[in-house]
Amino acid sequence: MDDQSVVFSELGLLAGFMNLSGPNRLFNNVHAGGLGWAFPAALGAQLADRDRLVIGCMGDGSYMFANPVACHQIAEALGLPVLIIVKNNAMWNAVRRSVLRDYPDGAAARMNEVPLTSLAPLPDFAMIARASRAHAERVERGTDLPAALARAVRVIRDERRHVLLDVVVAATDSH
Amino acid sequence: MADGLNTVADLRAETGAEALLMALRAVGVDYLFANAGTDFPPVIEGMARLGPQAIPQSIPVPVTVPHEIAAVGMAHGFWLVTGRAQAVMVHVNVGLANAVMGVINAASDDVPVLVLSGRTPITETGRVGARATPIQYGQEMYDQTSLVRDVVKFSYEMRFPEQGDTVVKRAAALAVSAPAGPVYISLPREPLSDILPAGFAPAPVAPPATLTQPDPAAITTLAGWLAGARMPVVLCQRCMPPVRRRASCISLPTRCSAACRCAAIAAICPSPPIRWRRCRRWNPSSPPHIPTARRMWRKRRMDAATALPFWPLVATARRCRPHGFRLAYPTSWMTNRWCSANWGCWPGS
Repeated sequence: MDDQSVVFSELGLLAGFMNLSGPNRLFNNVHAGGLGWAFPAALGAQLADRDRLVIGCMGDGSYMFANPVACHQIAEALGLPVLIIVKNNAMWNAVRRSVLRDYPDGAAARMNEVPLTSLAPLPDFAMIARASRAHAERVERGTDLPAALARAVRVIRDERRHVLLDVVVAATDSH
Repeated sequence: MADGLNTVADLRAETGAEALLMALRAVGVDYLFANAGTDFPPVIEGMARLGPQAIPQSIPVPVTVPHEIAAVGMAHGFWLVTGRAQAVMVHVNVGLANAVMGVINAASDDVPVLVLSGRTPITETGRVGARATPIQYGQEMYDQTSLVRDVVKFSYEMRFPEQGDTVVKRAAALAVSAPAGPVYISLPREPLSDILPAGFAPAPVAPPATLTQPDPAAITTLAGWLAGARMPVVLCQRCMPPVRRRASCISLPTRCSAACRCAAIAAICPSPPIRWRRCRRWNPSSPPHIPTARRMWRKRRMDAATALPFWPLVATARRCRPHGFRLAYPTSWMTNRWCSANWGCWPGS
């Protein structure tokens, strides 16, 4: 992120690990928690300033709640070169964590897969984005992420296309 | 040029829909995020006649958005970075139903959005705009506004074409007045299609309410805590509209650092000159590095519960609103209660 970049995070980023250049650079999802917010919010912010790097970072569940086919259509139709980062753990981890918190020694906690939380098998998000001519990559190793981000910013700057990075992450119990 | 007109000043709205579009622009709406349906013909005709292609800046730029959630979300994001409220228009009750989740988010986040939806024609024959398809019977509702009433500050159903002007201006002023939030206007097709009465003149743009100020006594208390704190920590979450938020987030920690040696800003309001890691150096006995604002918050609550005044946290910038402003606005009213409850349990209070 440069000095002017802004990011919309929906169960995506941890502010404490970020060095932000000033106020109004990170917007988290609202308390109401109506998921599917970050992708269109990023589109709206990009519409206000087409030269700014605008990032939407969200979980795979939030991405699907945002009606991704509609959002990618908007990005292409309006020429909004947003960077969309999907943290993909193939589940609704917030639901899983809430079950484990309430029933740490319960039957659900002993299962390999907590009921009503798995999103497997997921579609290939990169293909959904490419259907609207986005630059899209799936990142499966952490060491590949810096280069993928650099390519993403280059595509946004040089080609003015929007970008999707489908980043595979492990499900964690803390955040 | 449309009809030989040259400037915005020369434009005259002819229908209710055109009055509505021009009023939206007059109140500063740049974009109309729209998901169109059969309730839109007079609006679309107005766009074509008055639109940016004909005369720049006469009406908002219409943006075709293929899902209502995306339309409301775009208006939400636009406000967060600009502080300028935008409009969303969706297709009668079904489109409004899809938009509701975004309106709930906007209400929760104090984001003003002008939410418009068509309303299936009221009349069955004999008027321009009257019902023409079976669908328009299926879309009838006793109370369409009930879909959003809990989460809007203001709602109204347009009855006459000239209200396309006045209702928009009133709704916009209410939306951006503190505490800001979404408003809703229901638009039956007949008044949108009707010709404006002779002598129609647009109303003046209504100014929003002047800013409310915090209780001076509370500010004095806060200043006292700040001045006396060994290591004040300011937690900002959703704060002010963008312009004022920028000013407050920068000036507070800077002044605080001079007076109190150290301040940390977490969440969305980090301050370049003063960072959390520096705070640890100033006070080695302070809590260990806590990577997220959420954990800081949890820690502070624990301190309060055990009455240990060792971490003199001073302020949160989650805005506390005047009580009673929105009795018909339950989600935000609950936030008020949440806010005041936390004020009461702070160390030293």
